[in-house]
Amino acid sequence: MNSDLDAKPCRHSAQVCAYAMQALPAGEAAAVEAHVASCSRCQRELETLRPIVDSFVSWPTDLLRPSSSLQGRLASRIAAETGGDPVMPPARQWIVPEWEEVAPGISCQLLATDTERHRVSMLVRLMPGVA
Amino acid sequence: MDAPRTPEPEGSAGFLGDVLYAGRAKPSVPESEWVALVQMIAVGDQVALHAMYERAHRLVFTLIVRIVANRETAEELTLDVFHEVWRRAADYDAANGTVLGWILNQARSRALDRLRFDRRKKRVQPDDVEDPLPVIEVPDPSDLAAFREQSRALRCALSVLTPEERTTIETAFFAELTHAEAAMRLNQPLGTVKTRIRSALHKLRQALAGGASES
Repeated sequence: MNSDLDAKPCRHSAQVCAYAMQALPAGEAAAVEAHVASCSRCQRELETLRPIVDSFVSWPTDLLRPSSSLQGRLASRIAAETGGDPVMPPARQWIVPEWEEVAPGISCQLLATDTERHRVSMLVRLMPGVA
Repeated sequence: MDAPRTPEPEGSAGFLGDVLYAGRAKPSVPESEWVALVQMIAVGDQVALHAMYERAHRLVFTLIVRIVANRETAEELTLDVFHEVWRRAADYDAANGTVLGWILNQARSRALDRLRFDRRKKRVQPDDVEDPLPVIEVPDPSDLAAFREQSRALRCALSVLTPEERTTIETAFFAELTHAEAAMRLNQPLGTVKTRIRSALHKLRQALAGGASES
């Protein structure tokens, strides 16, 4: 087996991997995009990593995520509808509530509490074997 | 994933939330925050739509992908759901349920509609006859087979990762953190996190390529 990937990796390889995982802040992501545009090794690296990240939809975990951000596409759709410019998302603000073990083998993540109507929105995670 | 629960009164036992969160000291997010976002979306606030997306997209995507068993379809439908939230925010009525319940109902409906649509498309044949059996909405068999095979391959591939590499991927990707945030959460130097991400992805690439060539 021989390919570009067997050759000495580009010194930006770790950044490209983080980019593929959407683990870079916006500024660094833009810098990586600019670099990849002019680096064939990193282009190839990114091409081969995309299917890997796409496969994470099968990761054995309870909450998945899209393999690429959909917010840009959502903004473009709405811009096309309203005739305005796309409004891109601001920096992330939502702090995901922590999971709390409320009983042995039972954890909850409370997403919203409506005290007026006495109802909550929450996720419940049961450990294997918990009835 | 477990769907969000909206508990009903259970007689003298009170509410499920009361039981599970009895004596809970931590403040929780009020439903009124979610409702306020819907109201802002209803008057055309796109930043509020992004905020709603940020809160709910993983739940929406996960629910849909569990139903349709296809990543690309699930991404498209996730977009559709938030587009619909944008269009129909003014219709939301808190008396009928929580905001998250309202959004997830739309997600579920769209996913099932897609399955029905795909099913109808396949059944439109000149000699097609009405199926007398009740319709159970299931993913396209080829999608389901591909999804299962992908799951099997990934689970095998994951065995090549060290526990630290796996945790790093889960922390960065599934918790949607940047590598710097993941480093803080894992209490590891940033360089270590970068290295683990890179080594994990490369190992998975190799393992998945090996698995593909064996089959």
